[in-house]
This record gives sequence, structure tokens and C-alpha cells, in this order.
Amino acid sequence: MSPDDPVPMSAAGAAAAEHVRSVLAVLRELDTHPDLAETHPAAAFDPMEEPPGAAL
Amino acid sequence: MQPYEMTLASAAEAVRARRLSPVELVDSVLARIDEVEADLGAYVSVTADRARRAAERAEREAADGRPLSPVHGTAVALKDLIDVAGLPTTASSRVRAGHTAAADSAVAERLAEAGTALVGKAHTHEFAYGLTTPQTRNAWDRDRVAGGSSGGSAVAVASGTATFALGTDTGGSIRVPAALNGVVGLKPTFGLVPLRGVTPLSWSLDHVGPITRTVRDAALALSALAPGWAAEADDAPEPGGSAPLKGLRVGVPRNYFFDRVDADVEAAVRRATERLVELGATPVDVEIPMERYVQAAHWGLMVPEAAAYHEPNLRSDPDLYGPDVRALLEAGTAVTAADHLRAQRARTMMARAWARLFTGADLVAAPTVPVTAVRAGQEEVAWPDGTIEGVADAYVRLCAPANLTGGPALTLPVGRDRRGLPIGMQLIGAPGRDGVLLRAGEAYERAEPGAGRAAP
Repeated sequence: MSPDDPVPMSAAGAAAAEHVRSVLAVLRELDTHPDLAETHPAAAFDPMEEPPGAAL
Repeated sequence: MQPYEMTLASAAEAVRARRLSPVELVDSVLARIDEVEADLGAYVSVTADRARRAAERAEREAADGRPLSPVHGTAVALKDLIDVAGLPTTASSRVRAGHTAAADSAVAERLAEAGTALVGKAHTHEFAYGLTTPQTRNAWDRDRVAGGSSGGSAVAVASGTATFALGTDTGGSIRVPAALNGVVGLKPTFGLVPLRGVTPLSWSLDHVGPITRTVRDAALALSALAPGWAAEADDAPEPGGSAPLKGLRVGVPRNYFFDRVDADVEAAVRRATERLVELGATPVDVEIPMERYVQAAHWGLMVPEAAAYHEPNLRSDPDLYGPDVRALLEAGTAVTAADHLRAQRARTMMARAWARLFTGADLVAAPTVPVTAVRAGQEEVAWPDGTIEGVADAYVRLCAPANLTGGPALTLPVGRDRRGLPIGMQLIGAPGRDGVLLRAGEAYERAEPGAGRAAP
């Protein structure tokens, strides 16, 4: 298998993937949120840095 | 009282005062393991010889009269995701067969330096990716789940087979088993306790923290795990007196945390919140922000990050994973970058909204989990409104917000349900305000009898 190939998906994995997609769908409502332009991703940060809300 | 029944605070104090030998404490804990472990299944491995050698060293250090740490001479269990040099970190998974940790994790180093004795590696739900730890049984009812994923750690503390333990928490995995077993669990502020040498589930959400029999014990354990942290550095009301929580504003949620919660759980948590008010706290009505997006933000981070970590093994040896974990990991490989970034941005919004909430309240008091320990093998919870919820989803639901914000969350026992099963209340705080939660929890504990008893 080439590392470029997708990870093989079992039947249970495919069902779980569909369920995950359905749960994540609600996040698309935030695509039109008025604050979105000023909202950067809170990527996994170095633990020595402050969590995103700490400064407020 | 047998030494294994002592709290961390009382055992450490007795060691310092030379009334208790660390060897005597470790022998008592090991005897307790012999008595109950076959029934409970909390441990992957018991490190009796190592524990006795550490206890002998701790005894010599105590006799030398040198300054001792607040946890010196006590017996600790580590969730088997946490590296100890020379021992396997199995993650309770066949994937890790033959593994040996090359070096101590940061927390193992700190606890060894602090004079503790490692009694064993405790079971986790495989790779921390679940909420029941099926190998382990609840300390109060063997037919019920231990909770997870730090089920072994919580059961060890509840049953007296460790003075205290460490767990990890990505979506409640310290707090859920602590609540279900009637003990205290602290998810500290993100990054306060280092994660070096802890097998990750989700880099954005992982925390490591203590599971103890009392809130006072949790504060002592945190001081050993995060030596730079000091409770006094938090701007919190001082305990003591008839109104020890005067000045503390307790947020009482009007939404989310009491939606779809068992009636006994709700009643116990509301009574406990009133107790905080009787102790001088001021109740403040709070609206929990962005409740609609909690699960999606949590999954949008955890599911692809877990898959990314496990991708090589998913390619080479997928059959070595348990079916539930394998399905979730495979699903994570299909999450798009766009959805993952949506979750990251939702998290930023959520953290900012919670920071605004904490300008009007010092902490939020809420149930830790909506139901007590379910029967082993039960997969769903049926709610009076007709909805059906998976057990894992139900257990994560009230814990996930604090993983998303990075703020501390402390669970403590606040009563029993109609079946006699433990109920937990969680106190949730702003990042960096761990001391506020611990002081509030300690004040509650001092006012309520029976804190810190081990399960029979």
C-alpha cells in the first residue's frame, strides 16, 4: 500500500465516519458568524503558551 | 484505620511526623491489592518490588531529616499511558505488545523526585479512546462500569489500592471515572502539568492530572506535579471561618449542564451548590455559550488528531485495535482539513465566550456526568424526552466544554443516587484559576462529613 493511498476503511469505520460527518455539519453554521474574520484557529499550542481565553 | 485507607494528606503528614513508615504504607496498599484486585481489575501491572525499594528510600530520606515534599512516602498509580523508564506503556492495547518506555515521563520524574512509590500501571480504555474502561469494574458496584478512560486509576484510588493516581483527560477521562467511583478528579489548566512522555489522544485537548480521595489531596498532588504552581497565587477567597466562600461568585447554569440529567444527579448537584451558598458564596445565573457547537468542536479536534497519531499502525496492523477504537480512528482519517479548522475556530470563539462568562463568575458549578455508573455492557441511555444517547456521548457531554476552553475543572463527590451510586459535581474555572476551584472544593469538603473514605 502506498502511503498516498487512503487508510483502508472497515464497514464499522465507514459508518463511524458518516456519523462524525453528521455531527460536524453544524459547524458550518459558523461560516457566516459576524466574528469569523477575527477568529483564528486555536491550533494545538505549546503548553508554555497561554490557552486562547487566558488573556481576556 | 489501615494505612491504605489514609488520605494523601494524612499519610504524608504521618510520614513527616515519623508516625508512619512509607514501607508500612506501601505494604498495606500491596496487601489491599492482593485482597481486591482480582475482583476489580484496576491494574495492568503491579510493581511491588519497585514500590518497596522506593518506600525504603523514602523512609531513609524521612529519617535523614531533609525537607520532604507534600506527597513524600505515599503510594501512587499511573494510568498506563504515562511512561515510566524500563516499564511497558501498554495503553491497554495489543498494539503496544512488547513496548518498553525508554525514559520517564515528566510527571513520573516529578513524582519519583517527590518521594512517592509507584505501585503499578492502571488500566485505561484502549489508548484513552473511550469512556468505560471495560477491563475494570466500578469500586462500589462490580456489575457497573468504572468509567473512563482513566478507569483503573479512579478505581485504584476509590478502593484503597493507591493513595492517589494520575489520569489523563481529553473529554472527561479524569472526571468521568472519578465521579462514577466517588472520588476527586482534577483536570488542571491546559499545559500546567507537562505532557512529555504521555501517549497522546488529541494534542489540542489532552491534560494529565490527579485522582484522589479528597480535594485537599488533589491540591497536594498538583503542587508536586506543577512545582511552579501555588494555590496562593490565585486570586481566590481565603478558606476558614463561618463563611469561607464569602466573595466567591458561583455560576449556576440556566442551560446545557442541567439538560437531560438524571433527577437524582440534578438534585444532589443543586443541593451541593446551595451548600456553597450557605458557606458564603454568591449564586450568579449564567448562560453557557455556544452549547449547540460543543460536541462538534470537540469531535472536530479529537477525531482527526487521534487518527493522525495512529495512522501508521492503522495501515500496518488495524486488527490489533479493539473494534470500537479502530472504527473511530478510521473515521478520523476521513475528516476534512476544512472541518478540522472549523472546529479550531469554533474553539477560539468558545474560549473567548467563556472568558467573558468568567468576568461575572469565579467558577461554574454543574454535574460532572448526567447519569451515574451504568451497567457493564449497556450502550445507550434513554431520556424522559424520548431521546436515546450513547453512553460515551452522555459521559463526555458535560465534560467537553472545559477541554475546549483549556480551563481547570474539578469533580468532587456530592452524594449518592437511589441505587447508592456516587454522584459528582464539577467546578469549572477560567484558565489559571485552579486554586479557586480547589479552595471552593475544600471548603465544601470540610463542611460535609465522610470525605475521603475508601470503598469497602
